[in-house]
Amino acid sequence: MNKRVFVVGMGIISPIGFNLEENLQSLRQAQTGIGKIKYLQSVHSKEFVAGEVKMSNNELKSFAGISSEQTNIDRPTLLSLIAAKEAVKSLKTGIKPEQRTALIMGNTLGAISNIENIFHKTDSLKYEQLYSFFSSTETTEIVADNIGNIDFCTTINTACSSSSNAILYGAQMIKTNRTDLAIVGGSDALSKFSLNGFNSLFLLDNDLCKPFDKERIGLNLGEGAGFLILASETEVAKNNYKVLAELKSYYNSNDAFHQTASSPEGEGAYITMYNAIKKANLSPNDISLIYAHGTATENNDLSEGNAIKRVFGGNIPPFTSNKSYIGHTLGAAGVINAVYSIFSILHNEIYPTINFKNTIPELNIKPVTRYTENIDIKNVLTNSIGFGGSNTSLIFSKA
Amino acid sequence: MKIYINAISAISPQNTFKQNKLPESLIDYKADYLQVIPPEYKQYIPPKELRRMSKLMKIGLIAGLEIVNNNNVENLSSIIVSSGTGNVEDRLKFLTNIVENNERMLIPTSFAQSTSNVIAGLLALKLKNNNYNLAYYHDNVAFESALIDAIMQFQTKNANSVLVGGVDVTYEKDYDIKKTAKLFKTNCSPSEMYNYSQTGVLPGESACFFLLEKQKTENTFAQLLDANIIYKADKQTLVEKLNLFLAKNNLTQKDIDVVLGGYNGDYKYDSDIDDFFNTALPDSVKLQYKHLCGEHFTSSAFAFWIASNILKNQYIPEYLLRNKNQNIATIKNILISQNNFLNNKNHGFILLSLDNMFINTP
Repeated sequence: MNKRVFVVGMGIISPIGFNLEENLQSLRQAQTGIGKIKYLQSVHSKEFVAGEVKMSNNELKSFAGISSEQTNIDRPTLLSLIAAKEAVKSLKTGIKPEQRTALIMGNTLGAISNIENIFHKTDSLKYEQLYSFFSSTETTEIVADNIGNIDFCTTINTACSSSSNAILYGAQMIKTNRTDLAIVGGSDALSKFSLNGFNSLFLLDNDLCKPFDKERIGLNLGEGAGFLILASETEVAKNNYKVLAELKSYYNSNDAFHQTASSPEGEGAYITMYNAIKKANLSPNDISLIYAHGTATENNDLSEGNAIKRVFGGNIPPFTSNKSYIGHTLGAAGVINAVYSIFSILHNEIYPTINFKNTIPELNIKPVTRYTENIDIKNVLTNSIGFGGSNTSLIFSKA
Repeated sequence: MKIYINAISAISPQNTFKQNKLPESLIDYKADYLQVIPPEYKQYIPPKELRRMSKLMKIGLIAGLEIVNNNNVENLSSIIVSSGTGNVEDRLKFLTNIVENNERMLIPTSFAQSTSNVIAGLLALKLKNNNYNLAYYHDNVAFESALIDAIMQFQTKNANSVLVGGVDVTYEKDYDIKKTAKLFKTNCSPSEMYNYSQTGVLPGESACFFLLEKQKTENTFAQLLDANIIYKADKQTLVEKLNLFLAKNNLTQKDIDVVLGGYNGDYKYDSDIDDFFNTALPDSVKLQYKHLCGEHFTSSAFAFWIASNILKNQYIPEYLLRNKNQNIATIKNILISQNNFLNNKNHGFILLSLDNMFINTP
């Protein structure tokens, strides 16, 4: 299985930009998209800050090219449509009917936002109104139908590692010659469900989160969507695609410690990072940058930090977290990390971790705190860590 | 490279649990939806944990543990689970909790269990397994997605042993909402399901797990050859796609001795499947099975359990036959076909075999 897998297109919408270019500029300017909650209606809206995409659902509909009469298209689906369309646009020839094309998406909540506001009336509600809540396929299939020419479609739900695992599945399909193109990614929108869920676990920070910081309290929630388009070497040559990066390796493991917390020594993350490096025929020294999961919870950052130390010993490469820019985007977190990793590779730069002041005493490791340019970024390692012990690491390399 | 089905486990509305053969006769009773015969929950799960688990989690965990308990598996290479509905019980619980308590004083358990990888995560915890662990959640091709992943683990990672499963539950509150769409039969028994006197389907549930391994053993049921998903196709296009799928595995439609069809008791849905099979697989014996388990998204996992038994025991009980006058010769190759010609979406194929056949390595 030596087929190489290349990234030939990307798309994104997040709290720091409606497209790739805007996200890139916000990252370079260390501009956070986290602030007062404006769009989500919750009794906790004034209590917490979050990363929201700065458009109402109607505005998203316009942006996505959907008529406002289509009331059953939920916020995460709208975000997905926008990001997917941007990704496909980067293929100058579009998706050809003769190309086998797979769409694999990850999300944690599905299309939950719409029904949250009507749920208290369930006695009088009809199934059609609640369909989105029960549907695992809705977002994925609406995206598939809008992009067109999709031969294979599936959805992954492994909590916060969902979109990283979608990338992994797509890469595997290319390597085993099951598809020519794989459009892979994920989305999640801010919802009462997730806000209340994380609050009930005491995992939220009322203010801007502090990844890898001694005083970190918890995460901020975010929302967004992202996609990569993967293709094999032969497909790249055949269509003369512009290559953005190579997906050099991927690895998935399970922490097997607890439903919602990571093991203190970060066993799952250690296994995925160590093996992703090995599978890529690299050594730890070859890693130019780590895009951490870095959610700023007490547990994650200590656990992930320990795992990083175990893999890299005394020689830890620069590492950074984007969670203080966009919040924790759950199902989209993995693919957004991937997009930002590829930015680093394309532009030879590192985007800082905002809001960091002091190292965690048990770790004594410091993330990148200043925008760094003109630095040769060859291989970027990115981590995703989710409930249920799901861990995935990906390595992207300069092509 | 070959993949062997070396252990099977099914918790279903029929006597299938802890059985390695098909039931001799069916349990027949009228119901609005079929429910699994519950296993001895306490034998597998401590009461403290049991209290917090949804039904999906309980039967999924037990069906998986049953395989591991009875087979010498050290350190599974992968654990892959699928569900079409996911853990809707806990999702509804948490959402109801939010609404009733106006977003205050919420208990996190249901939230923590609301993502679809909850069973896969639980199995990893119980088995202290740090290896590859994934979960698929896409209507009636969730199980096919999981099988394809399992096959890819053998192909790309040289996996030794993969535990793969499908679980879906008809949850009461979920059912109450869905029935407003008038999709269901009421007060119907398995034996009445296919007489088409009522419109709609009879919902059901099951939890089915399988141990796939690189090596053949004395316990081997059959070989898993391949699986595929076709997102959108009408009957005509699907005939072509099926032929391509079979050709990839060095087979033609004449080689398919038996096809397990997704007949679900809805007249139009089932007629379309008959039409499709009459063109695509005119010589194959057609079987129907959803009267044993009821309609649910991962019912193809239950079909997988049935197909494994048929291949091993070379026997098809009459209650599975779609038409009573079908001739059955040696059973070598079985196709499981999930099709929805109402919306032409999410078709799934699974191929099992008794012969020594190699999986096409690309």
